[in-house]
Amino acid sequence: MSLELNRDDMLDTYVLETTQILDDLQALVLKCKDESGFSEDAVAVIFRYMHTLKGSAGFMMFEQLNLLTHKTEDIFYYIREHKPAKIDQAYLVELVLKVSDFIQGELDRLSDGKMADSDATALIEEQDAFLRKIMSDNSDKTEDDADPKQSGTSGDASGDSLNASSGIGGDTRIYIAPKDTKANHYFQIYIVYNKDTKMANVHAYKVVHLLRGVADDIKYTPENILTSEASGAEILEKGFKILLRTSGSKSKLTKLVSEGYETETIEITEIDAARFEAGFKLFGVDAPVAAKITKKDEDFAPGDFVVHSGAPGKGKFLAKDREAKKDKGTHINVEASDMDRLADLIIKLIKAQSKLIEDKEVREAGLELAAFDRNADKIKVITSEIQNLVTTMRMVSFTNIFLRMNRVIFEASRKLGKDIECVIIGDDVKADRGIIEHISDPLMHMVRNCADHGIEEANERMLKGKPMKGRITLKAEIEDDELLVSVSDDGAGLNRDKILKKAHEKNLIPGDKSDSEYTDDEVWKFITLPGFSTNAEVTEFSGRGVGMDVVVSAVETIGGSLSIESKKDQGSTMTMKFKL
Amino acid sequence: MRILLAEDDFVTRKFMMNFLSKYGDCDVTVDGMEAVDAFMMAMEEDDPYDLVCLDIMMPVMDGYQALIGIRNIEKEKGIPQEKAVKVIMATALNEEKNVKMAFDLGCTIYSGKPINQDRFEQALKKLGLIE
Repeated sequence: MSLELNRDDMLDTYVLETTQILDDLQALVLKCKDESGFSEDAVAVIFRYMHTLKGSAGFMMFEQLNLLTHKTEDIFYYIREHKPAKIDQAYLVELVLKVSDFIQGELDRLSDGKMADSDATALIEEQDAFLRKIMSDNSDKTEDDADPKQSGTSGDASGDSLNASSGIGGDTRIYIAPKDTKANHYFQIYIVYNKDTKMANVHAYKVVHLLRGVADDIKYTPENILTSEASGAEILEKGFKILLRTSGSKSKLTKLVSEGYETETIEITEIDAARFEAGFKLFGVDAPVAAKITKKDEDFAPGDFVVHSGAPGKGKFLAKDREAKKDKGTHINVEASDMDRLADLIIKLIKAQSKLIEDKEVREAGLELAAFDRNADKIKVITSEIQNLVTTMRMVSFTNIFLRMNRVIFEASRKLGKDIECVIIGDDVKADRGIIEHISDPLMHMVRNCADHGIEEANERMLKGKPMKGRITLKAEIEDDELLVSVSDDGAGLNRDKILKKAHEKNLIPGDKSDSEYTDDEVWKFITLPGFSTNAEVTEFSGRGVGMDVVVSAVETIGGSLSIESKKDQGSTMTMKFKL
Repeated sequence: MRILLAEDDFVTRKFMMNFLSKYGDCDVTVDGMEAVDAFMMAMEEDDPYDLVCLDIMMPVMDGYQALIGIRNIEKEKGIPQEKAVKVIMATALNEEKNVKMAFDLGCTIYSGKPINQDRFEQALKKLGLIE
């Protein structure tokens, strides 16, 4: 998820901290799923996560999230305290993931500048029903003493900066974000006074004064209009420029500004936030002059009179206050596109560098180049170091993508009614972000294929003497100079006869070769041809006519190849290979 | 309900006073020192405030200091935590460190400016200050 830059620092913090908890929560829940059950430790940890999520949602006054996580907390409180024997573990996994998704959705809304106020009632009720069910299923153990509402859960979770207890009393803490700033409009106002206007600076100040009534933020230039008489002359010469943030409309401003005062022209133009933030250097009317005033690339030009939201006359929220933010944390967010651009530029730099160093005119001029070459070598070392650094910076581990696949497997297993576990190997292997991004779709397709076509129904597995539970293995490894990413299942394996039959139907087999002449590998190749799908039944997960051919072409576009191995009743493995 | 407001900026003060007067009798001060004095006075007269609304950046004594002062007075008088006055910091300084500091010092609600009036009212309800 990309974090948009929010106006509100606390909201940023909330989104960031909650995202981290959700990531941990999801990883833990999926781990529980694979270990077929929630250990006591896991229950305690999830309870604490929920307690923290509940507290911070209460703190930010996101009521729905507060209620939602409270209910989840209740469930885990009950499990922690009463250790009920009868629980539909898989359903619980699903439920927690739903809660996690819901919260994630709200975080996305917040990042988009919306409120986190989606209705969570349905999900709360679903959880409530689940809680009631485990309570009644396990009621013999507990004399019905645990009303979920009473499980006054408190205590052990603290230490998170946003954490706050939500009980009524002296301990409640609430943070109210500033009024939604999305409703803002930004305007530039340019006023030219009649040339013979006396004390134009005072007239200008009156305008500022009037505008302050409706402005959330106002900047103007020249700035020292009230005290400097010289500014009057400047205003007459260059006009008076105002930048304004307001929730008011243009017509309202027009009415305010045009209340007399010997003006010659008034131009009011709506602008976007970026232009507003850029200050007067982008002021549309008189750009060259304005550029002189604001030389630096700052939010506000030095000396610009700045008044921020609701604090007229005080200049509280000055540019220097904002700089403090930069010190926070050891990670910074970088636009992926900037990173790509940097990588491109480095390559160009290295090319240009070698042209420069090997330049014929220089080399053939018969000059003494010993010092030149020494320096050239130094530069080469530096540029190659930069290149290595950028390459490493672009590296991402497989942790997240595998986690997502684990989730896909879980969902598929629920929907298909097959019990499938997911084994992950080498999730700490790192690869270029470009590769990871591009194999996401192919991986998902292969994983679904495994769940749907590969893994057999439970009774079939039993007849074959296999464990009831199917297994899908995701693996990443680096071997020699190659990155290998594979998806394997312990299912039925590819069906040679079925594939050949289908290949004939689709006229994919030239007539001059008999079926038996094809090696297995050649047969498996058929399924990667466009339009090939052996599954008679189109399910939600695979077999929509988009087949392995799409996977192959996706892998090939990023310079990889796909190989397939399969053994009847032992399963199949699909491996993507990329040269490093 | 009795409300005490400390805000040095005239326009904001007027706005806040109008806004808070909807919920109770609102006394107005212009800096932290005055606010602490008013708070003490109300205590001595046995008619304490239910809600104190502090700006942070104020001359003479800022909102943080006023908050410390108020909590110290309460401590000295042996007022239990659940009876302590609810303090709202209303300020445009909404960086995390400011917010954290305010809560560490014992603030109840931290509200960014411009004030989100709906949320503000919701928070008062949550605290049980209004119906």
